[in-house]
Amino acid sequence: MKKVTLTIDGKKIVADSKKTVLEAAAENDIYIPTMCYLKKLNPIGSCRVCLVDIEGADDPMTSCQLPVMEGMVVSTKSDRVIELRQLMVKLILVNHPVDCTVCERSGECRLQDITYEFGISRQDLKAEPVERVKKYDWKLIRYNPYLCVLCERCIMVCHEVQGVSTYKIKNNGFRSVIDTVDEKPLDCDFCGQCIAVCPVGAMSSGLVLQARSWELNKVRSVCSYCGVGCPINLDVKKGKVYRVTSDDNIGINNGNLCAMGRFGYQFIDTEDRIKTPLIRKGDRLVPASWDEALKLVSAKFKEIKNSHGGDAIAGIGSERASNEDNYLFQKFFRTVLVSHNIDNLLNMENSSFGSEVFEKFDLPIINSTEYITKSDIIFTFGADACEENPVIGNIIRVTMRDREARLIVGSSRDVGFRPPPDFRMVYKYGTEVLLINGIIKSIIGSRESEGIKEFLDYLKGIKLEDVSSRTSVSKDLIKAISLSLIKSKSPVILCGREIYKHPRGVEIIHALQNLANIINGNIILYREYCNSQGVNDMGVLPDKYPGYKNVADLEAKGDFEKVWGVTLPVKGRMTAGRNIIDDVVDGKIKALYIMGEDIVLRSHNGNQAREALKKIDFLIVQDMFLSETALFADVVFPSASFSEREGTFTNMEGRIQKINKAIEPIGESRADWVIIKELANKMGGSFKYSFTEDVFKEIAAAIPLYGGITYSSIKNNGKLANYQSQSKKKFRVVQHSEIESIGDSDMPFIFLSGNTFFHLGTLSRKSAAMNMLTSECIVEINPSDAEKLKINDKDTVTVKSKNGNITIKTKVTNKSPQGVVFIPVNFENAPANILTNKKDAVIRVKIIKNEQ
Amino acid sequence: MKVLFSSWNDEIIDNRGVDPANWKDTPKLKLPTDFDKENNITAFIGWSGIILLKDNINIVDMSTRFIEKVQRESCGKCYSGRIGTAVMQKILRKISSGEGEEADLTQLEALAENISKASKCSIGQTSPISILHALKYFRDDFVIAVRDKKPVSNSTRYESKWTAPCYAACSTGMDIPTYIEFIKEWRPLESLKRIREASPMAASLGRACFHPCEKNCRRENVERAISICKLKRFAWDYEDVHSVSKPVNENKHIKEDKVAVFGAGPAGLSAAYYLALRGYGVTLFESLPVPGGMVGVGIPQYRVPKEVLQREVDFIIDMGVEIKYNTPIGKDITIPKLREQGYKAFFISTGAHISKKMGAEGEDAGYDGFVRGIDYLRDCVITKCYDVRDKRVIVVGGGNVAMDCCRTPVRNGAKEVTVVYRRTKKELPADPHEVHESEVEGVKYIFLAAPKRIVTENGKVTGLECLKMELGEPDASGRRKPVEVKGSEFIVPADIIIQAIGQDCDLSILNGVDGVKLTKWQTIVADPDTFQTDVPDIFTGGDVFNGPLTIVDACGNAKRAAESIDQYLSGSQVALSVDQKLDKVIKKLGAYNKEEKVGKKAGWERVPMPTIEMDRRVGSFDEVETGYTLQQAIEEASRCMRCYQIGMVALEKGNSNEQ
Repeated sequence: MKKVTLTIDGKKIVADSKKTVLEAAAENDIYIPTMCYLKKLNPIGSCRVCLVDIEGADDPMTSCQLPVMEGMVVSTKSDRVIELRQLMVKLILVNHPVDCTVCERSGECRLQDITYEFGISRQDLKAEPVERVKKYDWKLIRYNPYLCVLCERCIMVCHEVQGVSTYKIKNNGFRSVIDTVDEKPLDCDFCGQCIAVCPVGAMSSGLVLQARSWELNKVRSVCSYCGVGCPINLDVKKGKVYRVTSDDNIGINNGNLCAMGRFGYQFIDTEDRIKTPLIRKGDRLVPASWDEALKLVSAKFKEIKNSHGGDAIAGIGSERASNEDNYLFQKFFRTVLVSHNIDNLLNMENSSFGSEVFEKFDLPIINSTEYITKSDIIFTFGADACEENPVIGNIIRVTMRDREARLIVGSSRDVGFRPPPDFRMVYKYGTEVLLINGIIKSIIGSRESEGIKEFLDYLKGIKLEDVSSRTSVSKDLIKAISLSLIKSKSPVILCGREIYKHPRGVEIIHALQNLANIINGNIILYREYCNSQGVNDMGVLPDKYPGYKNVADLEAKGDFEKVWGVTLPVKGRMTAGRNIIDDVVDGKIKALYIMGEDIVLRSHNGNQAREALKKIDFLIVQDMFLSETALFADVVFPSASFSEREGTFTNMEGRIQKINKAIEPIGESRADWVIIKELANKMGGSFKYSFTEDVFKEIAAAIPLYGGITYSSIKNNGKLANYQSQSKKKFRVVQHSEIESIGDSDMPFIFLSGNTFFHLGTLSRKSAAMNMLTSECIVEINPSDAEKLKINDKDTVTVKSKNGNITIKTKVTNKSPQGVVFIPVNFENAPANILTNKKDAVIRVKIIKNEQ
Repeated sequence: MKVLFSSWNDEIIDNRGVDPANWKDTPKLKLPTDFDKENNITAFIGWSGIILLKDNINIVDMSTRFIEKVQRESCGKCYSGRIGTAVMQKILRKISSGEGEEADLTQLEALAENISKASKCSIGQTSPISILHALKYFRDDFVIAVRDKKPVSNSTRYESKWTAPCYAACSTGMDIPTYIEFIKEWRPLESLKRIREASPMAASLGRACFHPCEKNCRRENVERAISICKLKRFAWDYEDVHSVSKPVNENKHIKEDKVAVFGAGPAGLSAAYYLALRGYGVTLFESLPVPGGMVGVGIPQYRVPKEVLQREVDFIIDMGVEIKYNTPIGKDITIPKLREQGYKAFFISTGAHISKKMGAEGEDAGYDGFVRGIDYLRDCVITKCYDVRDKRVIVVGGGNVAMDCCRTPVRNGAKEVTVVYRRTKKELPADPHEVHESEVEGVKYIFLAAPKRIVTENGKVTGLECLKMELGEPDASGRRKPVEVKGSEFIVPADIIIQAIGQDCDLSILNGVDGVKLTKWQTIVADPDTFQTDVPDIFTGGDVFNGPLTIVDACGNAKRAAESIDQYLSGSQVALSVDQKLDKVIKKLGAYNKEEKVGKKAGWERVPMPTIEMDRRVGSFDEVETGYTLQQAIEEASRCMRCYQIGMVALEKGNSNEQ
């Protein structure tokens, strides 16, 4: 990078030629006041507070926008610029009501700070007042134009980082205000970035703060929703979480949050929280003491263990629970119950994306998002970056802005991106492998290429025409995408939920691996929940010890026997090819202990899950809420939320991050690991942990992946676990194979499901704010399909598969291609998993319009 | 012109108290005195001062009205412009309503001074200047207003309009600062939307426009003009590459009236586009088999690729335009016949496609090896390029067509290419950028030489006999006239001579039409404001009206003509709006001052346009310029200073005005 030498306030400095004067000054500890400037946005230049004088220029210039130049002489403190800056602030104060006593932002307001800093105590400027309209009908965001300084940060963050571009300046001159582009009530991602960047109280949360900023204690934590794992602050006063905030320049998110992350915290103290243990009395669950509940479970477990053996008891761990919870959960099963019958839903649904991730995929699947931020081509495959993991969408967008990265979006739905991707590829669901092989074929062409002979021979047989007609992606598009991938120096491929829930998920990843090998790229796999990675790392798996050591491996057995001081069972998975729920239905499992998981709504086969829960002799559910699953329980243990205890989560990057205790546990709820510890000790185990740190210490000692990491060293940016990336490129012949399709001949639509913006799992459904944005499940259908069926937007329809049917409202959208319908998961009033029964098949449905 | 007072462009003329007979002439000042048929201009206030033509203006009132306009127009994008001018407005209103105090004058002056220094765009930077002039040169008027505490007279009619140097220089009236700001803000699609309000031809203009805007760019006064032209291309390319859904015409065919447009060049396409957007059914008759007119068959593909032009045309067709190719008008189909078929209005934009003669001996003899430039370029697109492989080529002429004619043989494998031009390099009318690129590609120049005779052997060209020239007195165009040097004949050996010294119009389209007048240059006569000919349903624009001129002029004519046609068909008066009249006034006055000292730090250089390597140019028609990348476009756009400025005229009834 070229360097230039310039002088600021008499100090000679050397700066990178791409820097602005403001940045160069800051690097050299020269302070220039700013107001509209924000590091993560392109400079705006509206406030004029950062004006500096430049030798040789008559007019002062804004240092935030001015690039450094060789030999430039800058003065940041001339009388003139100080006078002008003062004037700028005085001008803002012309129409800014000094209502600081009732303003939410008071105490963290840039205008307050700068007025004080500049020593402005008198206002002699006046303008004729203008009537402005407060926007309090924008759901979770409120806009008060009287407080607005029109710095445009909200406009820019919404455009550059969130890609929604919903705001504009309306009117001219003194009448200018912020409004939505279409001037209708706000309808956006509700990420609230506009609130976060507002320097004053103009943009504020619809969840009115009701606390003064200086009373709030910021407790660092990690968002408990998706696998991105954004560091957050829980702003707490007197045992209550008042809001969630985030800091720029920390963690994966650089201060950005999505709607759930920022507004979805209300589940913490809703009335629905279970406050005491519950015990089934007939058809009712009644409150009980901890002692009573633990004794009951301990006795029942002992009884089953004695009569049927330990592996008649099974456990399901949680992608939302901390590493410590999950670690002790599996340890409890393995050492106290002497059972390997534990699993987690991700692994149960598609083991390759849980336990076998390290064996089956040789690429560094788990990776730092640096692979995105340093890429020049981002290829999202089977991922909806804007909706699935909005903060990954932010990262992609900013990489497009800063590095001019090109974006290829491939999905079986027309998910798109904002701004529009360079290539948009909508393929036919089930033809992914064929498509990827076609792209590889097109890249290799007739060239010599690395790779095994069988693979190259196989490619020879592929005809692009055939690929194109079967995938419904045009030949030209395949060629254009191939061409841009060849040209790329640092490509990255991102795979989303569509792939890891796909019947051919493994094959797709293998095919993508071949592609990545050829273009020297990396693959990043999204994780759905905050600890989807950790639950697997911790060995909540029927055939793997913590750190993915095989249960069948006697050396591993010996190692863990040493760590745990017990004799471990040799027998692993109960029934090959069947999961725990299958085994329950088959009558092989008598008792089930489910920690923090709602299998009724989250398992791919809702009917089967219900059947299993009806059948099981003894069911313990440990949760914050009386979930659909908990309703079947014999005993319910109330667990504390992530804000009420300590622990660690491992995000999609493999980054171990710490959650901290912000408030006292609600009611008598306890941290999951504490409950497990008590139960283990009641049953004769010897779980001697006083603090979360004690558990983590054992994790670090037992799992090489987490080796060498101390609890206290996990700070703001967490610690990356020691995943080893494979350096050797392995090619495999991956062939397309047809997927079984289940449905009657009158069921024409391919049924897909996934997550939506405002809901993930069942927690968000307990947040009033999230339900305010979306409380109703919908089925997305293509306009031409809708027209054929004479269905309009928001009509009520019945979606029917061979397994069941649900009644739901329609959303007519081009996002669903013709012949495909999409229903979001996790809505208890329209459980999409009722429609599905088999994970390795494509489910077809029909849509019947309900008569009014 | 003679004025009562002027502080325009820092030149003070003060004739107050002087007998009008003794007023001195100020040749630099070019404020028109007529606004329209009914109104005269009596004063002007704007970005660079105050001009008074009469003494019946109340300066306090004018200042107040002006700052009110400024406040209404100011974009709200900076604190000083948005709030500062509102504070100024309050003070001025207070004074003009008779409630002012002496302290207000001091505060007003200080504010005006500071706002002009601190503002983001030129509205905030320049508008306070005229207030400062008012306070300085008309202080007594303000002092009296403050002292007497009486409301000032406010009976004068004022009209105001925003402008910008680049905007005023563009015949399409494109809102350049805004489209550039949108690119800077990474909103290329919004930028394109704004561009299309002025022209549907962003791809062609963004590649081949003569860009008068850049010659009127204030950044040129700092170091180098903004690359306005190529930023337009960036916006279009972005939409093209990202295959986003393009805007649709919601008014498609909502009107019953049909309009016939002749010639699918920039003018015809633009007129068709704006007529279609207004809901008319438009049929575009084109004599050639391809669209684009001169852009299609004159400008070579290495500047505007055929596919790009076709996609641009497809967009216009999608708006509801039907193009009939290979359909010349004037023989089988004539305007009167089309009238019978129900076409209600006609726009003639058939261009200038006949090569002018160069006056050299033998040019009509049909020698093998002598080619007319326009035919040469057209054949390259429609049929086949004239074979120049390994030949020596001479191009006669120095305009942009000559540039296209000399850069094309380079690509077709000519051995050497030489341009013969009768003046010097300094006078070359071609775009300097084109001249530079031709030199990069190895084209040689012989200056101060005029063709005299084509030298042949057995009917085949072997050379061109030229005469040496020298520069004499300036001619009407202001350039020094070349004069023959007697007896200076010399022969330049050549196998091919391409003559490219200008074009004439083919007017056979007017067969059967009575009443359309022609100029002595054989172009069509029409009202220069409305483009209506003497036959009310016939309008015109582009080269057939202007004579061979530029793409952007053709686009600009057509956009305005489409509006006139709409006025004509909807029964309203075919006339300019107040805004358009103001644009005319400002254009005459000049929105750009080459001498202005812009107080910015120089050194933020223009981002160079990436081009393909030499080895890809020879023997190929690949587009030479590859277009800005996103980062480059944003950086280049960031150099723009948003030179919006506001001008306001004072008007008085009556249609006679002393000159």
